[in-house]
Amino acid sequence: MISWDRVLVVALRVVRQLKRDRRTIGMITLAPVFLMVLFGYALSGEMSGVRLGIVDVGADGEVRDHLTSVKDFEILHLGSESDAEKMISEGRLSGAVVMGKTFMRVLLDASSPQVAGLITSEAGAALQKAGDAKENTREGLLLSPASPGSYMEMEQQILPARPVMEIRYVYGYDLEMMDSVGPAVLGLVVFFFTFLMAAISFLRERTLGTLEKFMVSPLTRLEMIAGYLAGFSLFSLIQSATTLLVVIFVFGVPMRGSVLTAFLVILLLGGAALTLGSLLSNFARSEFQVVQFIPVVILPQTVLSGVWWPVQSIPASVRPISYLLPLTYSSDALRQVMLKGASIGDIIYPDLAFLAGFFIITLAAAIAMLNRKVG
Amino acid sequence: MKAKKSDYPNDWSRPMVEVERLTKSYQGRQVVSGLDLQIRASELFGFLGPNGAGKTTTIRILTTLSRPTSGQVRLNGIDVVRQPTLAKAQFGIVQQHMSLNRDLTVRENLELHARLHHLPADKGSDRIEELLEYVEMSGYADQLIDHLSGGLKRRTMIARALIHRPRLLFLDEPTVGLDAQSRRRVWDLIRRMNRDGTTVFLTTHYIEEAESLCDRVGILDQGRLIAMDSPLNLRRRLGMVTVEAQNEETGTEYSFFPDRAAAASMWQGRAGHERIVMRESNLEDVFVELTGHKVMDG
Repeated sequence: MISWDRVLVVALRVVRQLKRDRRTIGMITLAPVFLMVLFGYALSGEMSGVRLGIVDVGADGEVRDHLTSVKDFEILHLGSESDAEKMISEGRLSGAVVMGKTFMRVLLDASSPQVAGLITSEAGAALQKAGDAKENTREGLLLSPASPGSYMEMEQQILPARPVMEIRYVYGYDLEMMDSVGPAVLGLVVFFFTFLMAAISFLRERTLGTLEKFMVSPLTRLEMIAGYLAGFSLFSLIQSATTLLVVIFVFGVPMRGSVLTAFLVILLLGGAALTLGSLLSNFARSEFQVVQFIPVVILPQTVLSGVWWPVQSIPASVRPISYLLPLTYSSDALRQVMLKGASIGDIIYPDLAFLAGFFIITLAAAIAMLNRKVG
Repeated sequence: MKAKKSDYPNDWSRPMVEVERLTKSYQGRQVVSGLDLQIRASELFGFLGPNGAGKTTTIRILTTLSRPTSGQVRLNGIDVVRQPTLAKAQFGIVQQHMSLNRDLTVRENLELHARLHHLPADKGSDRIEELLEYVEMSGYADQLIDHLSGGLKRRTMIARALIHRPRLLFLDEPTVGLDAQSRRRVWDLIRRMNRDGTTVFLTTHYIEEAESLCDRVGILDQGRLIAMDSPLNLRRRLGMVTVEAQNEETGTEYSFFPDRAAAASMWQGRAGHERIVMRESNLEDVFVELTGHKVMDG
């Protein structure tokens, strides 16, 4: 028999107590926003000042023009390919493009995949543009037979037919890095702070003796944990809302699905973090030990749960671990909702089902641990 | 303040605390061995023992926080293992360590527990005013716990423990860390509660506290009850007069005599390096003699 009145009493106490603790309130509400903003700018995908060398050995004007017009590049014109190679190996250039009439060679410093990727894609775009330009020119010339000589010349220059790659984005055609990572990072930030808050608060209850005081009152263990969860969820709610707003309005990450659905996912994730935090607080004796959980509980989730890169790119040998982590499911669910516009029905299985299951299991374990403490 | 008879289901003749053959083992080590204890209603009982004697374990079992390995415990006739929830309603407890919510005010702390004990809001606030007056803290209702002195915190904890009008109150080291003045006020409060009908179960390291407050004391040593009587009877049994022969080299030797005459005849004419002090025996003498070590030794 659960008495909701007593659950409410415990919840109100948590709220009252936290309300007076200004610094914690600050941590709960502002730190995630700060972190989000930081991640947001770091991941905006905008690069500038990429030093690119150009060695022009009779290249097409179109190609050169395109490369020099890319604002991310700082262009250096070089005399020879060996100069370019030397400067790249000395770290003075991020890459170089050697352009001739019939060829293009791209020299890259592969230590930064993002920069290398930018250079290759722009070089490719330049070639494409040049190709298109020629097609247009030919058509134009065909329509003006007044100058047959130049037409002939162009005809000779037309490159042999080559397969053209056409990329069509099924969804997310206009996404930046932040757009695809944002929804997942949102989950990570909420999970991290909620977990920490719950673990430390529960630890304090135990070390200050207030937990024991509760245990000699008529309050049952389930009521106590339920009250805690309810009280903390209010803060989790505020935290999720502010972080979500930052992601949507400051970084313009699209919200194609319903905000409420996204919110539901975050709340469920927050619940899982709360129960996990209260469960693990049993294994810590001091705040210092709680902090040591961060590398054990939080860090693995940041690399194994598809926040930054897809779970599919994680080696198969450790992938089973990924499928046990709540962030794997929240990341997927939030991406589906925010980027693809998925509805609740689309993410019930496996995402919501896993998060709910994780929540219930950790909750049961947390209650059992409280029972065990009474030995 | 006096508890009404109709609040409780049981008859008044039966003991408030009944402990029968209580045993508790941790990892094969017996901490409490076959403890028998009966405390009458309205008694002020002191539970003494050196550190590690099993006092805390016993209190934890009595207050449902720990389960006995064997034996039975009934509070006001209710079995603590079989009916923990009902048993919890019978007692209040003031723990040794400060266990108030520091970020809440005195009133909020009391309100929280009033509501946990299902006192309706209006009755609860009447009860809180009454209790604050009782522990002489009416002026502090809206102060944050963090801003209170040790004595006031202790009195708040006592008020909190009384919120549901328990007939039995456990006080675990109620005056530890308090200055002499606060300590006497807490003593007065304990006496007053007891006069008003509350059975008090007290543990303490201050033997003079037990001697001054308690009707009866039980002395626990290595998990067994080695003495159980009124402080006066225990002193009588030991000898009402103590002689200390203080020797600089061998330390102090204690001897006990029924009266001064007997003590004088024994020590008369004894010369040496000793300084002889004759005084009335106290409960601490009893305690040390029985447990064989000084209190507060680890």
